[in-house]
Amino acid sequence: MSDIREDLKAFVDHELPPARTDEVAHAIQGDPALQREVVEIETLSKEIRAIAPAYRPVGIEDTLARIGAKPRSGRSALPRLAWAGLAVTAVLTGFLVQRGGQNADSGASVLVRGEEGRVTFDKSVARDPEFRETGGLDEAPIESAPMAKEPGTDLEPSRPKNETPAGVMPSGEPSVGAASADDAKPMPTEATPNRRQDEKSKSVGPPQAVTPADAGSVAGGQAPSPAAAAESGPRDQPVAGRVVVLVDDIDKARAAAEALTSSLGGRPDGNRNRLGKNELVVTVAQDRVGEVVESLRQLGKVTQDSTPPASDKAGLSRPSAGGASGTMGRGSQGGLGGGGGGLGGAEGGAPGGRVAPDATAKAGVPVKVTLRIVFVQKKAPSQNVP
Amino acid sequence: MEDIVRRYYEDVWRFCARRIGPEAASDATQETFVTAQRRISDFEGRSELKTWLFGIALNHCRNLHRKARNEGPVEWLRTDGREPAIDGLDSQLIDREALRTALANLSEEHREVVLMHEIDGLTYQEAADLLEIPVGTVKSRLHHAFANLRAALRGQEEAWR
Repeated sequence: MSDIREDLKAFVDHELPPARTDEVAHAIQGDPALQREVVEIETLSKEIRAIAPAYRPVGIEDTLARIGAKPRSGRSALPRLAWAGLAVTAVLTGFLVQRGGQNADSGASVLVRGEEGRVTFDKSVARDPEFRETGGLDEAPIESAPMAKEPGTDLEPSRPKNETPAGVMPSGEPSVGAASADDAKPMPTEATPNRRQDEKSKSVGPPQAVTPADAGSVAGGQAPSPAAAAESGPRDQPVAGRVVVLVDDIDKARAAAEALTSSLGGRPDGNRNRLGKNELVVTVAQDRVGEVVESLRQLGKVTQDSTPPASDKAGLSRPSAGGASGTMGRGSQGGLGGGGGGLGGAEGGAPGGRVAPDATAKAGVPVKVTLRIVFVQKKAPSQNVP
Repeated sequence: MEDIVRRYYEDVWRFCARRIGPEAASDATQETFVTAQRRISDFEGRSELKTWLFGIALNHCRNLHRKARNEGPVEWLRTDGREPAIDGLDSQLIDREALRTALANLSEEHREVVLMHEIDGLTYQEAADLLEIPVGTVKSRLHHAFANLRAALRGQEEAWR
């Protein structure tokens, strides 16, 4: 019997030769004590496996590198590629922001903002002659935008945007900036289709510097009062960005924007006396800035969007050393606060009062940022002069 | 070699982690594959490739264990005073903390065959190849190891009564 006991473990493990297995099985059948031992051995086996820690192996890439293998381009390499892409996007964004209102006439790159506010790099647009002309802006900058080269090619506002007359290059369109502040010039840009927008991939050039065209003399629009222009957002919030929207009815659009901001958990600052009736300052959670901008696109044509890039909107950026002092702003040449009437000028006291959007971030507290929305009245292109 | 690493890395890493702990497992695993790369021509196919790799890993684990001047069993077998985890009917029959203690108190020879067969999933023959001992010795060691474990757990049980 003791022989049998010595083989019980091997019997349970199916490690005995067939003949011996039969012998042991026969012995077990007639002996309750052996049966109990078999159960004990099986239970013990199961318990030993159960207490073994379930480790998660790490370090395979190091080992592959050590043996000289290339990292696989599959699952493990993908996140790194994604991060690399994100880094490239961030660098490009920073570069374009720095360039500000300068015309990106080199056309080397462009950031395309999709329907969901995502920013991607689109080289094909950069190769587009239209982009080369306009620098990727919806409206060409003042210094480079010629007046309409081909008279009579302007479209009526009601014309569908995809009906671009042959031979009409958007680069030949008068820009918003080309119109004067006294509303003497029409706004042909509004009536002119933008091919890229039609393709659901609206191109947005580098966040423009505030020029007279948008800081106080937005073409044909009702310019904000100088006081309003000098004013910044609420004192406790840095101005995260500025959106200019061409609308049919300023009052309606403004009311709608207030409503949508509230619906997104934001807080509209409705001090019209201070800001002027065509401006609205809203305080909104940083990660909802993209939604606000997208909603504004429903109200009219967004001609300028200098809100932070997508990663900032999602609250990914870290508080900057500049804090709320506004030292992160660009220089006075084209900075938001630069020059007379610069919108952010009063914000931080420094030239280019643009502040890192999450400069007030605190651990665990949702970051709120302030957006300045400027509504510009649409005008029919009735007096387009070449 | 890259394919071999990808296919067996996890098995080798766990094999090492169970013996020298997860912190040192990556180093041991890496050394295992570097050695395997250097000596792949020595592999004659008499055993499974995994078993051959485990053999290399076992040597590296022993070296690291020795260099670290560690005594006794790996960390997961040391008792830490936690309450026993009871998951099901079978588990209620055995106190897991007592089982860890009993495993830790086994001789290294007995513990090694238990680990190899019960946790690493090696057959008696594979364990014998790895340890370079006859398969009958593996069978005998397992028998005695289990007998000791059962005795230890029974003694624990009786001590509680």
